[in-house]
Amino acid sequence: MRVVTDAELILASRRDPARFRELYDRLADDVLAYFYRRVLDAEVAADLLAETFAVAFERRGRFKDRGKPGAAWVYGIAAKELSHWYRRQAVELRAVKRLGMTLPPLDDESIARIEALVDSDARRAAVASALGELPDGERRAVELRVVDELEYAEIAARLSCTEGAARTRVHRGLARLNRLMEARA
Amino acid sequence: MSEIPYVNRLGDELERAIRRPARSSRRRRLGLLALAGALLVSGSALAAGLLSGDVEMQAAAQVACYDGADPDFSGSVAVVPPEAGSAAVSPVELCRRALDPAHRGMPLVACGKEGAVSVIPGRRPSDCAAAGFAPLDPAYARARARVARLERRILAIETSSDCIARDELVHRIQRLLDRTGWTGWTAETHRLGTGPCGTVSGLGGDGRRYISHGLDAVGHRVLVARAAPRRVTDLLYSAERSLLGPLFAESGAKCFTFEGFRARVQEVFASKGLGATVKRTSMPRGTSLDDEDGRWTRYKQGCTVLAGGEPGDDSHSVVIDVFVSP
Repeated sequence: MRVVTDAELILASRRDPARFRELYDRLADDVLAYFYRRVLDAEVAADLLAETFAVAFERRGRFKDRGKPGAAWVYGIAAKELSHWYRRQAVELRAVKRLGMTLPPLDDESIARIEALVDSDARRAAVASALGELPDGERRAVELRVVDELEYAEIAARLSCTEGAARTRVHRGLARLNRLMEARA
Repeated sequence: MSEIPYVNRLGDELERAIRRPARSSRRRRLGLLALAGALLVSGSALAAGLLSGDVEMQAAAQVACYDGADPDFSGSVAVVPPEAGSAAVSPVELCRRALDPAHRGMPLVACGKEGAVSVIPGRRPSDCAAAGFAPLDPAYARARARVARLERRILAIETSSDCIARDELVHRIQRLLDRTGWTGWTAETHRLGTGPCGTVSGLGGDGRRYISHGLDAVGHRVLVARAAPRRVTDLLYSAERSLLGPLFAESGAKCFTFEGFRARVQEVFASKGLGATVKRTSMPRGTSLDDEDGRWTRYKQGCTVLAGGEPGDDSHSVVIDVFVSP
Protein backbone atom coordinates (compact mmCIF):
# COMPACT_ATOMS: atom_id res chain seq x y z
CA MET A 1 0.00 0.00 0.00
CA ARG A 2 1.37 3.39 -0.95
CA VAL A 3 2.11 5.68 1.95
CA VAL A 4 0.54 9.11 1.73
CA THR A 5 3.28 11.73 1.67
CA ASP A 6 3.40 14.72 4.00
CA ALA A 7 2.78 17.01 1.05
CA GLU A 8 -0.31 15.02 0.07
CA LEU A 9 -1.58 15.25 3.63
CA ILE A 10 -1.20 19.02 3.62
CA LEU A 11 -3.09 19.24 0.35
CA ALA A 12 -5.79 16.81 1.58
CA SER A 13 -6.26 18.86 4.74
CA ARG A 14 -7.49 21.77 2.64
CA ARG A 15 -10.61 19.83 1.80
CA ASP A 16 -10.74 17.80 4.98
CA PRO A 17 -9.13 19.69 7.87
CA ALA A 18 -9.21 16.55 10.02
CA ARG A 19 -6.38 15.13 7.89
CA PHE A 20 -4.13 17.75 9.42
CA ARG A 21 -4.06 15.71 12.62
CA GLU A 22 -2.30 12.91 10.71
CA LEU A 23 0.39 15.35 9.64
CA TYR A 24 0.73 16.57 13.22
CA ASP A 25 1.04 13.03 14.57
CA ARG A 26 3.79 12.30 12.07
CA LEU A 27 5.91 15.35 12.73
CA ALA A 28 5.17 16.65 16.22
CA ASP A 29 7.85 14.74 18.15
CA ASP A 30 10.58 15.67 15.70
CA VAL A 31 9.55 19.32 15.55
CA LEU A 32 9.43 19.42 19.35
CA ALA A 33 12.93 17.95 19.52
CA TYR A 34 14.07 20.50 16.93
CA PHE A 35 12.85 23.30 19.19
CA TYR A 36 14.12 21.80 22.42
CA ARG A 37 17.63 21.38 21.04
CA ARG A 38 17.69 25.06 20.26
CA VAL A 39 15.93 26.71 23.19
CA LEU A 40 16.75 24.18 25.94
CA ASP A 41 13.48 24.97 27.65
CA ALA A 42 10.64 22.44 27.48
CA GLU A 43 7.92 25.05 28.12
CA VAL A 44 9.15 27.30 25.33
CA ALA A 45 9.61 24.33 22.99
CA ALA A 46 6.05 23.17 23.72
CA ASP A 47 4.62 26.63 22.99
CA LEU A 48 6.64 26.90 19.78
CA LEU A 49 5.33 23.51 18.71
CA ALA A 50 1.74 24.64 19.24
CA GLU A 51 2.19 27.90 17.36
CA THR A 52 4.03 26.22 14.49
CA PHE A 53 1.23 23.76 13.80
CA ALA A 54 -1.45 26.40 14.28
CA VAL A 55 0.32 28.58 11.71
CA ALA A 56 0.78 25.59 9.40
CA PHE A 57 -2.93 24.81 9.63
CA GLU A 58 -3.85 28.38 8.80
CA ARG A 59 -1.42 28.53 5.89
CA ARG A 60 -2.07 25.10 4.42
CA GLY A 61 -3.99 26.77 1.61
CA ARG A 62 -0.79 28.52 0.52
CA PHE A 63 1.30 25.37 0.39
CA LYS A 64 2.49 24.59 -3.10
CA ASP A 65 3.58 21.08 -3.86
CA ARG A 66 6.80 21.58 -5.80
CA GLY A 67 8.01 18.07 -5.22
CA LYS A 68 9.82 18.88 -2.01
CA PRO A 69 8.97 17.10 1.25
CA GLY A 70 5.98 18.55 3.06
CA ALA A 71 7.93 18.30 6.30
CA ALA A 72 10.39 20.88 4.95
CA TRP A 73 7.52 23.34 4.68
CA VAL A 74 6.59 22.75 8.31
CA TYR A 75 10.21 23.12 9.39
CA GLY A 76 10.37 26.37 7.47
CA ILE A 77 7.53 27.69 9.60
CA ALA A 78 9.25 26.31 12.70
CA ALA A 79 12.44 28.14 11.80
CA LYS A 80 10.55 31.40 11.46
CA GLU A 81 8.84 30.92 14.83
CA LEU A 82 12.24 30.19 16.35
CA SER A 83 13.72 33.36 14.91
CA HIS A 84 10.81 35.32 16.39
CA TRP A 85 11.55 33.78 19.75
CA TYR A 86 15.24 34.64 19.53
CA ARG A 87 14.29 38.19 18.73
CA ARG A 88 11.53 38.73 21.26
CA GLN A 89 12.25 36.14 23.95
CA ALA A 90 8.54 35.34 23.98
CA VAL A 91 6.37 32.95 22.03
CA GLU A 92 3.58 34.88 20.41
CA LEU A 93 0.72 32.44 20.28
CA ARG A 94 -1.28 34.42 17.78
CA ALA A 95 -2.32 31.58 15.51
CA VAL A 96 -3.11 29.44 18.55
CA LYS A 97 -5.39 32.20 19.74
CA ARG A 98 -7.00 32.69 16.36
CA LEU A 99 -7.82 29.00 16.24
CA GLY A 100 -9.34 29.23 19.71
CA MET A 101 -6.99 26.63 21.14
CA THR A 102 -6.40 26.26 24.86
CA LEU A 103 -2.92 24.93 25.45
CA PRO A 104 -2.76 21.89 27.72
CA PRO A 105 -0.53 22.09 30.80
CA LEU A 106 2.96 20.71 30.47
CA ASP A 107 3.27 17.94 33.07
CA ASP A 108 6.47 16.58 34.62
CA GLU A 109 6.32 13.34 32.65
CA SER A 110 6.12 15.26 29.38
CA ILE A 111 9.03 17.46 30.39
CA ALA A 112 11.12 14.40 31.20
CA ARG A 113 10.26 12.79 27.88
CA ILE A 114 10.97 15.97 25.93
CA GLU A 115 14.39 16.14 27.55
CA ALA A 116 14.90 12.49 26.68
CA LEU A 117 14.26 13.26 23.00
CA VAL A 118 17.71 14.71 22.94
CA ASP A 119 20.83 12.82 23.87
CA SER A 120 21.09 14.64 27.16
CA ASP A 121 24.62 13.87 28.26
CA ALA A 122 26.21 14.55 24.91
CA ARG A 123 24.01 17.58 24.56
CA ARG A 124 24.93 18.99 27.94
CA ALA A 125 28.59 18.57 27.16
CA ALA A 126 28.15 20.32 23.82
CA VAL A 127 26.16 23.14 25.40
CA ALA A 128 28.70 23.58 28.19
CA SER A 129 31.44 23.78 25.62
CA ALA A 130 29.52 26.25 23.46
CA LEU A 131 28.63 28.36 26.49
CA GLY A 132 32.32 28.69 27.20
CA GLU A 133 32.77 30.36 23.84
CA LEU A 134 30.25 33.12 24.54
CA PRO A 135 31.45 36.55 25.64
CA ASP A 136 31.33 36.82 29.43
CA GLY A 137 28.35 39.16 29.59
CA GLU A 138 26.23 37.06 27.28
CA ARG A 139 27.20 33.79 28.96
CA ARG A 140 26.28 35.10 32.39
CA ALA A 141 22.97 36.48 31.10
CA VAL A 142 22.08 33.17 29.44
CA GLU A 143 22.96 31.20 32.56
CA LEU A 144 20.85 33.46 34.76
CA ARG A 145 17.90 33.23 32.38
CA VAL A 146 18.01 29.57 31.32
CA VAL A 147 19.66 27.80 34.25
CA ASP A 148 18.51 29.99 37.14
CA GLU A 149 15.21 30.93 35.44
CA LEU A 150 15.36 34.51 36.70
CA GLU A 151 13.13 37.32 35.51
CA TYR A 152 14.80 39.93 33.34
CA ALA A 153 14.51 42.56 36.06
CA GLU A 154 16.50 40.37 38.42
CA ILE A 155 19.05 39.53 35.74
CA ALA A 156 19.46 43.24 35.12
CA ALA A 157 20.02 43.83 38.83
CA ARG A 158 22.63 41.12 39.03
CA LEU A 159 24.46 42.32 35.93
CA SER A 160 24.12 46.00 36.84
CA CYS A 161 22.47 46.89 33.58
CA THR A 162 19.03 47.92 32.37
CA GLU A 163 16.31 45.34 31.82
CA GLY A 164 16.44 46.05 28.10
CA ALA A 165 20.18 45.42 28.05
CA ALA A 166 19.63 42.16 29.93
CA ARG A 167 17.12 41.04 27.33
CA THR A 168 19.52 41.95 24.56
CA ARG A 169 22.35 39.99 26.15
CA VAL A 170 20.18 36.92 26.61
CA HIS A 171 18.87 37.21 23.07
CA ARG A 172 22.30 37.62 21.55
CA GLY A 173 23.76 34.89 23.73
CA LEU A 174 21.09 32.36 22.78
CA ALA A 175 21.37 33.26 19.11
CA ARG A 176 25.14 32.87 19.24
CA LEU A 177 24.76 29.63 21.19
CA ASN A 178 22.41 28.32 18.56
CA ARG A 179 24.85 29.12 15.79
CA LEU A 180 27.62 27.36 17.67
CA MET A 181 25.45 24.30 18.26
CA GLU A 182 24.33 24.24 14.64
CA ALA A 183 27.94 24.32 13.54
CA ARG A 184 28.69 21.30 15.69
CA ALA A 185 25.62 19.30 14.69
CA MET B 1 0.57 8.53 19.00
CA SER B 2 3.50 10.10 20.77
CA GLU B 3 5.07 8.84 23.97
CA ILE B 4 4.93 12.41 25.23
CA PRO B 5 1.54 13.03 26.90
CA TYR B 6 1.69 16.76 26.14
CA VAL B 7 2.12 16.11 22.41
CA ASN B 8 -0.98 13.93 22.36
CA ARG B 9 -3.03 16.41 24.37
CA LEU B 10 -1.90 19.25 22.12
CA GLY B 11 -2.87 17.16 19.09
CA ASP B 12 -6.29 16.59 20.61
CA GLU B 13 -6.68 20.30 21.26
CA LEU B 14 -5.57 21.16 17.72
CA GLU B 15 -8.06 18.68 16.35
CA ARG B 16 -10.77 20.07 18.60
CA ALA B 17 -10.09 23.59 17.38
CA ILE B 18 -10.05 22.46 13.76
CA ARG B 19 -13.24 20.47 14.06
CA ARG B 20 -14.94 22.53 16.72
CA PRO B 21 -18.27 22.92 14.97
CA ALA B 22 -18.57 19.18 14.36
CA ARG B 23 -17.21 17.90 17.66
CA SER B 24 -19.76 19.02 20.13
CA SER B 25 -20.63 16.05 22.33
CA ARG B 26 -18.00 16.99 24.89
CA ARG B 27 -18.99 20.62 24.67
CA ARG B 28 -22.57 19.60 25.21
CA ARG B 29 -21.73 17.57 28.29
CA LEU B 30 -19.66 20.41 29.70
CA GLY B 31 -22.29 22.91 28.71
CA LEU B 32 -24.99 20.91 30.44
CA LEU B 33 -22.83 20.59 33.54
CA ALA B 34 -22.19 24.31 33.54
CA LEU B 35 -25.85 25.01 33.04
CA ALA B 36 -26.79 22.63 35.88
CA GLY B 37 -24.29 24.38 38.12
CA ALA B 38 -25.65 27.75 37.20
CA LEU B 39 -29.17 26.60 38.00
CA LEU B 40 -28.06 25.28 41.38
CA VAL B 41 -26.45 28.59 42.17
CA SER B 42 -29.35 30.63 40.95
CA GLY B 43 -32.76 29.10 40.55
CA SER B 44 -33.92 32.27 38.91
CA ALA B 45 -31.39 32.03 36.12
CA LEU B 46 -33.82 30.93 33.44
CA ALA B 47 -36.38 33.44 34.59
CA ALA B 48 -33.73 36.13 34.28
CA GLY B 49 -33.28 35.29 30.63
CA LEU B 50 -30.50 32.69 30.49
CA LEU B 51 -30.79 30.62 27.40
CA SER B 52 -30.43 26.88 27.14
CA GLY B 53 -26.82 25.67 26.97
CA ASP B 54 -26.74 24.48 23.37
CA VAL B 55 -28.33 27.59 21.92
CA GLU B 56 -26.09 29.85 23.98
CA MET B 57 -23.05 27.95 22.72
CA GLN B 58 -24.32 28.17 19.17
CA ALA B 59 -24.84 31.91 19.49
CA ALA B 60 -21.24 32.46 20.60
CA ALA B 61 -19.67 29.89 18.26
CA GLN B 62 -18.18 30.20 14.82
CA VAL B 63 -20.20 28.86 11.93
CA ALA B 64 -19.12 25.83 9.90
CA CYS B 65 -19.83 26.12 6.18
CA TYR B 66 -20.11 23.12 3.85
CA ASP B 67 -20.39 23.19 0.09
CA GLY B 68 -21.72 19.65 -0.17
CA ALA B 69 -18.72 18.20 -1.97
CA ASP B 70 -17.98 16.04 1.04
CA PRO B 71 -21.01 13.72 1.43
CA ASP B 72 -20.32 12.73 5.05
CA PHE B 73 -19.58 16.29 6.25
CA SER B 74 -16.37 15.17 7.92
CA GLY B 75 -14.61 18.47 7.23
CA SER B 76 -16.03 21.92 6.80
CA VAL B 77 -14.99 24.10 3.89
CA ALA B 78 -14.81 27.23 5.99
CA VAL B 79 -15.24 28.14 9.63
CA VAL B 80 -16.48 31.69 9.95
CA PRO B 81 -16.79 33.82 13.07
CA PRO B 82 -19.98 35.81 13.42
CA GLU B 83 -19.66 39.54 12.85
CA ALA B 84 -18.55 41.12 16.11
CA GLY B 85 -21.43 42.77 17.88
CA SER B 86 -23.95 42.04 15.17
CA ALA B 87 -26.82 39.62 14.87
CA ALA B 88 -27.90 41.08 11.56
CA VAL B 89 -25.97 38.71 9.34
CA SER B 90 -27.42 35.21 9.41
CA PRO B 91 -25.25 32.09 9.41
CA VAL B 92 -26.37 31.38 5.83
CA GLU B 93 -25.24 34.82 4.68
CA LEU B 94 -21.92 34.48 6.53
CA CYS B 95 -21.25 31.24 4.69
CA ARG B 96 -22.41 32.56 1.36
CA ARG B 97 -19.69 35.21 1.65
CA ALA B 98 -17.08 32.66 2.69
CA LEU B 99 -17.68 29.93 0.14
CA ASP B 100 -15.95 29.68 -3.19
CA PRO B 101 -17.69 31.98 -5.70
CA ALA B 102 -18.77 28.94 -7.71
CA HIS B 103 -20.88 27.77 -4.78
CA ARG B 104 -22.33 31.06 -3.61
CA GLY B 105 -25.47 30.73 -5.65
CA MET B 106 -26.50 27.38 -4.23
CA PRO B 107 -29.39 27.20 -1.75
CA LEU B 108 -28.13 26.92 1.81
CA VAL B 109 -29.80 26.13 5.09
CA ALA B 110 -28.59 26.65 8.67
CA CYS B 111 -28.65 23.63 10.95
CA GLY B 112 -27.83 23.10 14.59
CA LYS B 113 -26.29 20.17 16.31
CA GLU B 114 -25.72 20.42 20.02
CA GLY B 115 -23.42 23.42 20.50
CA ALA B 116 -22.57 24.06 16.86
CA VAL B 117 -24.11 25.83 13.88
CA SER B 118 -23.52 24.32 10.47
CA VAL B 119 -24.63 25.63 7.10
CA ILE B 120 -25.16 23.02 4.40
CA PRO B 121 -26.63 22.90 0.91
CA GLY B 122 -30.39 22.67 1.27
CA ARG B 123 -33.65 24.50 0.87
CA ARG B 124 -35.55 23.84 4.06
CA PRO B 125 -34.90 22.89 7.70
CA SER B 126 -35.96 19.29 7.01
CA ASP B 127 -32.85 18.96 4.83
CA CYS B 128 -30.80 19.22 8.01
CA ALA B 129 -32.05 15.90 9.38
CA ALA B 130 -31.28 14.14 6.10
CA ALA B 131 -27.66 15.24 6.49
CA GLY B 132 -27.40 14.15 10.11
CA PHE B 133 -27.97 17.57 11.66
CA ALA B 134 -30.97 19.13 13.37
CA PRO B 135 -32.89 22.20 12.27
CA LEU B 136 -31.52 25.36 13.84
CA ASP B 137 -33.34 26.11 17.08
CA PRO B 138 -35.79 29.00 16.61
CA ALA B 139 -34.30 30.47 19.80
CA TYR B 140 -30.97 30.94 17.99
CA ALA B 141 -31.79 34.42 16.68
CA ARG B 142 -32.72 35.64 20.16
CA ALA B 143 -29.62 34.06 21.68
CA ARG B 144 -27.38 35.53 19.01
CA ALA B 145 -28.90 38.97 19.56
CA ARG B 146 -28.15 38.69 23.29
CA VAL B 147 -24.56 37.59 22.67
CA ALA B 148 -24.17 40.40 20.11
CA ARG B 149 -25.28 42.93 22.73
CA LEU B 150 -22.59 41.65 25.07
CA GLU B 151 -20.04 41.80 22.25
CA ARG B 152 -20.96 45.41 21.49
CA ARG B 153 -20.56 46.38 25.13
CA ILE B 154 -17.16 44.71 25.33
CA LEU B 155 -16.05 46.40 22.11
CA ALA B 156 -17.25 49.72 23.50
CA ILE B 157 -15.08 49.26 26.58
CA GLU B 158 -12.11 48.30 24.41
CA THR B 159 -12.47 51.28 22.13
CA SER B 160 -12.81 53.71 25.04
CA SER B 161 -9.03 53.77 25.29
CA ASP B 162 -6.07 52.95 23.10
CA CYS B 163 -4.72 50.68 25.79
CA ILE B 164 -6.45 49.24 28.83
CA ALA B 165 -4.18 47.14 31.00
CA ARG B 166 -5.23 43.49 30.97
CA ASP B 167 -6.17 43.27 34.65
CA GLU B 168 -8.14 46.50 34.45
CA LEU B 169 -10.01 45.20 31.41
CA VAL B 170 -10.82 41.96 33.26
CA HIS B 171 -12.22 44.02 36.11
CA ARG B 172 -14.35 46.19 33.84
CA ILE B 173 -15.73 43.27 31.88
CA GLN B 174 -16.60 41.40 35.07
CA ARG B 175 -18.56 44.43 36.22
CA LEU B 176 -20.30 44.48 32.84
CA LEU B 177 -21.21 40.79 33.11
CA ASP B 178 -22.57 41.25 36.62
CA ARG B 179 -24.52 44.34 35.66
CA THR B 180 -26.11 42.90 32.53
CA GLY B 181 -27.38 39.59 33.85
CA TRP B 182 -24.68 37.21 32.58
CA THR B 183 -25.05 35.11 35.70
CA GLY B 184 -22.30 32.54 36.16
CA TRP B 185 -19.99 34.14 33.58
CA THR B 186 -16.57 35.35 34.62
CA ALA B 187 -13.92 37.51 32.98
CA GLU B 188 -10.53 35.86 33.16
CA THR B 189 -7.01 36.55 32.01
CA HIS B 190 -5.72 34.43 29.18
CA ARG B 191 -2.06 33.54 28.87
CA LEU B 192 -1.95 34.25 25.15
CA GLY B 193 -0.65 37.34 23.46
CA THR B 194 2.02 39.90 24.29
CA GLY B 195 1.93 43.59 24.98
CA PRO B 196 0.99 46.03 27.71
CA CYS B 197 -2.76 46.06 27.00
CA GLY B 198 -5.66 43.66 27.28
CA THR B 199 -8.06 42.55 24.59
CA VAL B 200 -10.95 40.19 24.07
CA SER B 201 -11.37 40.90 20.39
CA GLY B 202 -8.79 40.32 17.70
CA LEU B 203 -8.21 41.14 14.08
CA GLY B 204 -8.85 38.30 11.67
CA GLY B 205 -6.91 37.62 8.50
CA ASP B 206 -9.40 39.77 6.62
CA GLY B 207 -8.53 42.77 8.77
CA ARG B 208 -11.89 42.80 10.54
CA ARG B 209 -12.24 42.69 14.29
CA TYR B 210 -13.79 39.52 15.73
CA ILE B 211 -14.66 38.62 19.25
CA SER B 212 -16.13 35.12 19.20
CA HIS B 213 -12.81 33.47 20.05
CA GLY B 214 -12.76 35.46 23.30
CA LEU B 215 -16.09 34.07 24.45
CA ASP B 216 -16.02 30.60 25.97
CA ALA B 217 -19.67 29.60 26.11
CA VAL B 218 -18.78 26.16 27.47
CA GLY B 219 -16.86 27.48 30.46
CA HIS B 220 -18.95 30.68 30.62
CA ARG B 221 -15.84 32.81 30.45
CA VAL B 222 -14.76 35.98 28.68
CA LEU B 223 -11.05 35.59 27.98
CA VAL B 224 -8.82 38.65 28.11
CA ALA B 225 -5.46 38.23 26.40
CA ARG B 226 -2.44 40.52 26.22
CA ALA B 227 -2.12 42.79 23.21
CA ALA B 228 -0.31 45.78 21.81
CA PRO B 229 -2.10 49.15 21.88
CA ARG B 230 -5.11 49.11 19.62
CA ARG B 231 -3.79 51.89 17.39
CA VAL B 232 -0.65 49.89 16.63
CA THR B 233 -2.50 46.69 15.75
CA ASP B 234 -5.01 48.64 13.67
CA LEU B 235 -2.23 50.35 11.71
CA LEU B 236 -0.71 46.96 11.06
CA TYR B 237 -3.66 44.73 10.35
CA SER B 238 -7.06 46.40 10.21
CA ALA B 239 -9.00 46.39 6.97
CA GLU B 240 -9.54 50.12 7.04
CA ARG B 241 -6.27 51.51 8.38
CA SER B 242 -3.58 48.95 7.70
CA LEU B 243 -0.35 50.40 6.42
CA LEU B 244 0.92 46.95 5.59
CA GLY B 245 -1.62 46.37 2.82
CA PRO B 246 -0.37 49.17 0.55
CA LEU B 247 3.23 48.24 1.36
CA PHE B 248 2.61 44.65 0.27
CA ALA B 249 1.32 45.97 -3.03
CA GLU B 250 4.14 48.48 -3.36
CA SER B 251 6.83 45.85 -2.87
CA GLY B 252 5.22 43.78 -5.61
CA ALA B 253 4.83 46.68 -8.00
CA LYS B 254 8.33 48.05 -7.70
CA CYS B 255 11.78 46.51 -7.25
CA PHE B 256 13.29 47.71 -3.98
CA THR B 257 16.73 47.22 -2.55
CA PHE B 258 16.76 46.35 1.14
CA GLU B 259 17.93 49.84 2.04
CA GLY B 260 15.37 51.45 -0.24
CA PHE B 261 12.49 49.47 1.14
CA ARG B 262 13.58 50.02 4.72
CA ALA B 263 13.56 53.76 4.13
CA ARG B 264 10.11 53.53 2.54
CA VAL B 265 8.69 51.49 5.43
CA GLN B 266 10.12 53.87 8.00
CA GLU B 267 8.73 56.83 6.11
CA VAL B 268 5.23 55.31 6.00
CA PHE B 269 5.11 54.41 9.68
CA ALA B 270 6.78 57.65 10.78
CA SER B 271 3.90 59.51 9.15
CA LYS B 272 1.68 57.92 11.81
CA GLY B 273 4.12 58.53 14.64
CA LEU B 274 5.44 54.97 14.82
CA GLY B 275 9.03 53.81 14.64
CA ALA B 276 9.76 50.83 12.40
CA THR B 277 12.54 48.29 12.62
CA VAL B 278 12.99 46.41 9.37
CA LYS B 279 14.39 42.89 9.64
CA ARG B 280 15.58 40.55 6.95
CA THR B 281 14.00 37.13 7.23
CA SER B 282 14.55 34.02 5.18
CA MET B 283 11.82 32.46 3.10
CA PRO B 284 10.81 29.12 4.66
CA ARG B 285 12.10 26.26 2.57
CA GLY B 286 9.61 24.77 0.15
CA THR B 287 7.34 27.78 0.16
CA SER B 288 6.61 30.57 -2.22
CA LEU B 289 4.52 33.72 -2.19
CA ASP B 290 1.18 34.15 -3.81
CA ASP B 291 1.93 36.20 -6.88
CA GLU B 292 -1.32 38.12 -7.03
CA ASP B 293 0.47 41.27 -5.94
CA GLY B 294 3.64 40.46 -7.88
CA ARG B 295 5.85 39.88 -4.82
CA TRP B 296 6.91 36.39 -5.86
CA THR B 297 8.05 37.67 -9.25
CA ARG B 298 9.90 40.54 -7.61
CA TYR B 299 11.51 38.21 -5.09
CA LYS B 300 12.76 35.96 -7.89
CA GLN B 301 14.16 39.05 -9.61
CA GLY B 302 16.31 39.68 -6.55
CA CYS B 303 14.17 42.43 -5.05
CA THR B 304 13.24 42.96 -1.42
CA VAL B 305 9.58 42.25 -0.66
CA LEU B 306 7.42 42.66 2.40
CA ALA B 307 6.87 39.50 4.45
CA GLY B 308 4.80 40.80 7.37
CA GLY B 309 4.91 42.83 10.51
CA GLU B 310 4.11 42.87 14.19
CA PRO B 311 4.00 45.30 17.09
CA GLY B 312 7.33 46.23 18.64
CA ASP B 313 8.24 45.72 22.27
CA ASP B 314 7.18 49.22 23.23
CA SER B 315 3.88 50.93 22.55
CA HIS B 316 4.96 53.05 19.62
CA SER B 317 6.93 50.94 17.21
CA VAL B 318 6.56 48.02 14.84
CA VAL B 319 8.87 45.31 13.55
CA ILE B 320 8.60 44.67 9.83
CA ASP B 321 9.92 41.49 8.23
CA VAL B 322 11.12 41.48 4.63
CA PHE B 323 12.24 38.71 2.34
CA VAL B 324 15.51 39.42 0.59
CA SER B 325 16.54 37.15 -2.26
CA PRO B 326 19.72 35.23 -1.41
